[in-house]
Amino acid sequence: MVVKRKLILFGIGLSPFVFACISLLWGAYAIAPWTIAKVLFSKIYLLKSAEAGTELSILWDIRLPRIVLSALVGAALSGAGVTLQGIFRNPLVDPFILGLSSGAAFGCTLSVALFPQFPIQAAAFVFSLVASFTTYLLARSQGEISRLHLVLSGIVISAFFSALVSILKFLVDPHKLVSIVYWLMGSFSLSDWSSIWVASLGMIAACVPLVLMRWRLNALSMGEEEARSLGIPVERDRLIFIGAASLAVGSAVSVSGIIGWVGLMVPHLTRMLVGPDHKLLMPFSLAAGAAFMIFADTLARNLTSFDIPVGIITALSGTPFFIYLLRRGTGGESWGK
Amino acid sequence: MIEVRELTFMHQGAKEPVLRKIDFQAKGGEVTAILGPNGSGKTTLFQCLLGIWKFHEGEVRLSGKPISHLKRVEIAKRLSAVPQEHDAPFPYSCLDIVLMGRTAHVGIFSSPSLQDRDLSRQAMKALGVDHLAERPYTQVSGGERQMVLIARCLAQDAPAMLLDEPTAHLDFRNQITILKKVKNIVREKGLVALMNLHDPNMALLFSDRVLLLNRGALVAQGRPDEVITQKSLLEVYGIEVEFVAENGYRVICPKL
Repeated sequence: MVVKRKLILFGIGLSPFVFACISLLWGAYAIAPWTIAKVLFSKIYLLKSAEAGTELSILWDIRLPRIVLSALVGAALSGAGVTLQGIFRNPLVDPFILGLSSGAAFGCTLSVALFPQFPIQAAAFVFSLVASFTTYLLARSQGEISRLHLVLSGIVISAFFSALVSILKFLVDPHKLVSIVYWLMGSFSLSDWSSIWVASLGMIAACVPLVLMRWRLNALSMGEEEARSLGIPVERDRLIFIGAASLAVGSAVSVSGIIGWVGLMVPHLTRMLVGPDHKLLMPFSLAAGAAFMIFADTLARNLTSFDIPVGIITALSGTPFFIYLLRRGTGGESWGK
Repeated sequence: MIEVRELTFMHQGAKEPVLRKIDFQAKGGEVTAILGPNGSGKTTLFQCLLGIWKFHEGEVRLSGKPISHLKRVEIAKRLSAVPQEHDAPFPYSCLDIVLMGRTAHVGIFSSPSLQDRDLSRQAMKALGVDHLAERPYTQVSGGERQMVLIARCLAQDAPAMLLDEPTAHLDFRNQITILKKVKNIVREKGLVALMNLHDPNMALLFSDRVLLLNRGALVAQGRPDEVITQKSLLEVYGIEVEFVAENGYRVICPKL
């Protein structure tokens, strides 16, 4: 039993690296594993190498940045998912359902369409924060947050920001419209190292408090009054957690558009494997999120002759998963009521 | 020690106070039971003691310090609580639940240490539920849950604890087991225990002091046999009762 558990934990921890290797290998331009190792080794240690040129640029400028970026986005989205499910004690919420993603998308669209001088990342963060707090306050207006109110508030806020995005799409000139539409579908096809630096700052800054404070999510998930009696200043902690989740989602959306379901699916799957204790759940969800996103993006890159948006892949796999959760009964034994 | 002086509490915008001039002390090593009909303010009183509601008049002191001067963490180090009707949103193990009691002692950026785990295990052992440590809390019985929650109070290591109707929803056997256990532990460790109860018979059997609450006011307090009388029960619950004495026990029986 203990050995099996250790194997599972080890497997999840290793999975991002395994999928990263698969993703490096698999592509339209076939490169042998040995060549990959040689090219990357010589690039990292600044050695001269015979294979420089095509192979190097495919690996270093195209495949690797995509892998790194999708890993970061996957980790950020599932970290935000774990956090939101924890503080709202609701296993059915994620950044998408609570409106964070739509808020961030509106921020980005606003920045692209009307205010190019305002950095996309900042706009995404600000509006993701606005969306999450509006959802939170709306759900809270009835006293203690009920699950139904929370999900309904999220849907309302999400719809509101999607409508604002539609208005902007309608107003903007057609050239920009194409890029907005493609970007909103969720894709890593435009990744390069410079976008990684900017976005990774936000995502890493967001994940630090989430990882450091993760154990408190256990007590917070027991409900407001109980968390207080255990010694948690609930308002302050919620503020920190919602702020960090919004930063993670904002940064993720600003580089990759809206990629749904990851924040819902990955925390659930990880919880099934490692258990609900956030001390383990948070770090392993980050790893599993990274692995899943690398996997999904590798499929997006290779399934057809052109690059399909990865958001389509995650949505296609997310829908049956959500139906499975509903059928299994969210009030079922293992998920609590 | 819990000291409450002239505590008056009113919800915002309400006309009538929920609690009026509540005045009592609860000492270490004693089980103090609070009796009163539904809506008499028992749970609100607990929420005031925990600092969840801010009261405007009066004072509450925990181990000598007024709670208005205490931070959340400091209150938790002085007073632990067993909440009413309980459910976990995720299937935490029983040990995870007990470990939550260490929250006030664990730094904001850290997780429980091995020592915290040891303390939690010991608390579970003291209540005889250490065999449940790895079982999901959502799958154990109601009586076991109460035991786990009381173990969590011990792990919280506060000199006083509140139990909000610890026997609600429990079968007869479990009611007796839980109350016996609470009484023993309170004696043994010299803890302050303040407990809401519905059944005056249980208060007669298991408490050292009784507070009788009616419509937000304390109508009587003292030893159980002084406070729980035909007259006071008629006044507070509107029920006529008789006392039956048998083998040195006094038992309340409603007149039918």
